[in-house]
Amino acid sequence: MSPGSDLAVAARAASRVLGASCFEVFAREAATLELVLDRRGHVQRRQSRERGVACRLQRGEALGFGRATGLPQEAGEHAARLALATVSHDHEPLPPAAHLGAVPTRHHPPLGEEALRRVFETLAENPARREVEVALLKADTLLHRSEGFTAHWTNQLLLAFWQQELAPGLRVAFRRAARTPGELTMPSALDLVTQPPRIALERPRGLARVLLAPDVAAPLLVLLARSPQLSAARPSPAWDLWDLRHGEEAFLPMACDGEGYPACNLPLLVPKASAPGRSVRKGASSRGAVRVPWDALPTPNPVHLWQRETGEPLPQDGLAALVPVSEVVVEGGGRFRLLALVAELSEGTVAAWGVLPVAGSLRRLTTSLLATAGKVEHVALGCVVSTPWLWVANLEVG
Amino acid sequence: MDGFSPLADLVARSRKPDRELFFWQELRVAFEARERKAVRVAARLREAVSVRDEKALAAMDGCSREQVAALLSVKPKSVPAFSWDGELQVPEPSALATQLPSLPLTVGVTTSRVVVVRGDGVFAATRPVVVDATNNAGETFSWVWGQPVPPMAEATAGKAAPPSGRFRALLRPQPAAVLCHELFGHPLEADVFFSGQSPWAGKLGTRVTAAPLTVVDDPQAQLPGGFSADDEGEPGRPKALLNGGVLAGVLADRSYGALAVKAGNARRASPHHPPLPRLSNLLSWVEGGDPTPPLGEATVEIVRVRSGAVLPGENAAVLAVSESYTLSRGRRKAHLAPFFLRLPLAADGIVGGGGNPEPVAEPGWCHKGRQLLPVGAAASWLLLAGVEVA
Repeated sequence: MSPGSDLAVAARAASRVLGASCFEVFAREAATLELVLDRRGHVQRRQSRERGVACRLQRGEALGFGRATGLPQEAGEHAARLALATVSHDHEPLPPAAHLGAVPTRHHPPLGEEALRRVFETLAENPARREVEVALLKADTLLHRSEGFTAHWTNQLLLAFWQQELAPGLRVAFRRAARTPGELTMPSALDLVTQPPRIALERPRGLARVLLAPDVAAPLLVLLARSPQLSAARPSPAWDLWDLRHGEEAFLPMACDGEGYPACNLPLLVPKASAPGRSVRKGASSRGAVRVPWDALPTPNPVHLWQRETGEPLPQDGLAALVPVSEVVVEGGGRFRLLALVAELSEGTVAAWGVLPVAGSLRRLTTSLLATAGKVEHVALGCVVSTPWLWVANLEVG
Repeated sequence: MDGFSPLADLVARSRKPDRELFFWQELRVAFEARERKAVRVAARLREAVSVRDEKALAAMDGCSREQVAALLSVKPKSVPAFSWDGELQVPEPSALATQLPSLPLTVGVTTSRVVVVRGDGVFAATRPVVVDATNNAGETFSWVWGQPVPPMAEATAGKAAPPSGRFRALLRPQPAAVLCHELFGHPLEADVFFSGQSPWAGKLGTRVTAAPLTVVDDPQAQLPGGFSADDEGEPGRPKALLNGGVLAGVLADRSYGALAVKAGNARRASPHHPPLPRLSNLLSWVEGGDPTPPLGEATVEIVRVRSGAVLPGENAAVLAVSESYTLSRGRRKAHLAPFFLRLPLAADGIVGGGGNPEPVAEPGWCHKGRQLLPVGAAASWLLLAGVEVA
């Protein structure tokens, strides 16, 4: 039975339980193949097949939401029964059927285990890289509404995670995403570290212009995309940040969003000429909501953040945050704080480095982007983030 | 458990001594609490099975004979019938909502069960029903259903700058629990410890804190990380990690048996993930310690932190402080802005602590290897010397 027909079986099973009600079935099947080099240097092959169904049932102003995993028929029936059992108030209603629609999606040629193995071997052959994991994720998604609307699309993504020893005892983590092995980008921040510097960077706390490497910029872009304050500040003209959901450059193209609205690319921080009147996405809008993870309610989360590169070379001197070494801590008022490996660049190489706090506010990040530099790199977080280096003024360092 | 007993022979016949089947079922009901009423209710039932040996892991959603047959590459007819005993149950959201504070909260209540089938037997594990609640600031609290509901107010940040230079800090139970989790929990997980990434590698049996601090991982405690048997079927028992300030033990799964480390600490988020040595509930106290914190001996009082970590290559632990105050003669003076607190491991470190651990509800979840698991903690106050702002 093909995956597509499994999803149809699940949707039919749910429909039978829900009868003549107004409902929505979201079914997903994902196959993941992983090759892992663990901390002990052992290689393990992992494969996983996940099948799940999420049902939303509308009854007047109330809604029930049930999810289940398992064989298609059982999962469909369980999810529908749980939706019947949880009908309650204050849920967002299902979108009107007249607004539902789908756009065509492009399928990339399927990758096989051999391609994955080649990526794994290339990454694992460098002894500085530890705990290497590469994964090939293939997902098949179906959204069905009781009024007759059905959309179906597939995705494929290659993920690579590893730790790299930059100096004795100093290991940092990298996470990358690609559609094909050739698209996998290596961290250009590592090119600056020709050898560990002998001088420890120490500087008094203060505002500075800082180059943010893609691995540092990526989690900040995710915060920015999720922030309701996105619409409150006038973005600096260097921004050209989008959330891609379809088209040539989208890593995770979809036929429709998590509720059945036709998929469209969302301008987040863009020059007005690119998207007249839509320079900023309104976080409160339900259009563009996605399910992260698949069994969550649709919410306005990013899918593939993409900041345009300008092709400018990296500045040769100044402060650069190369890699995050802590999670980003979010404080009140849109302030963020993280610890990063910060380097003093001199003539294009690292003259001194140290682990220092980097802090600021999302508003300041929005208004203080001076320029971008270097090539786009594709970072895997809860979503994909494609970004070049960001040169930002007025960040607090030290 | 009886429902799975016939499968032991099937695994034994596979002639792979380390082969293991892992069955898992989880029910989670989530809702939003508004003025002690439950709205936006949702429910999720997940079940899956995996087969694992030393070199491979294969997992599928669902727990049927067909799936077991596919995973073992045998005909479905050769898989004996098996079933779970009864259905999973959780408390009614409306009943739970009446017990919560009247804050806006996003609430989840989760119950799960697992069965491990190995060639040498079938091992079922029970786990507590865990409630988690997240406030508007994104702070998550968790506790075992039936235990007292913890306070869930948001941490409050001030505006004053933290002091410069090295100083003494008094940690209240929540930051003390996070520090023990990061400093003595993760670094004493066998995969971290034996890979050379732990600051404690090669130091078992040596004193590492000035105060006689004891840290015990206890899956039997009535806290969110508990289990009767771990995810490899080994019984869940308390294990001392630090005994009177001396490093005493390592958390391990069965794969570390050759290193003579006792197993019983393997945990996994689902059958789709491999088991790893993980913390369960971490209890920390100083034997005979004064229950009253010595506010007069510290410059800064740390009340709440968001997270913590051991910094790579820095030989230091760091806490992301969200609520703290300067102290003068034992009284709160300035309300401090958030900052990172650094504890160099080579310094005097932990110089004092209380003897009365109390349950700590925040944060109740722990990430490792992209697996999120509930963990519990009970801690008393700690006094740190030689700390500084990062």
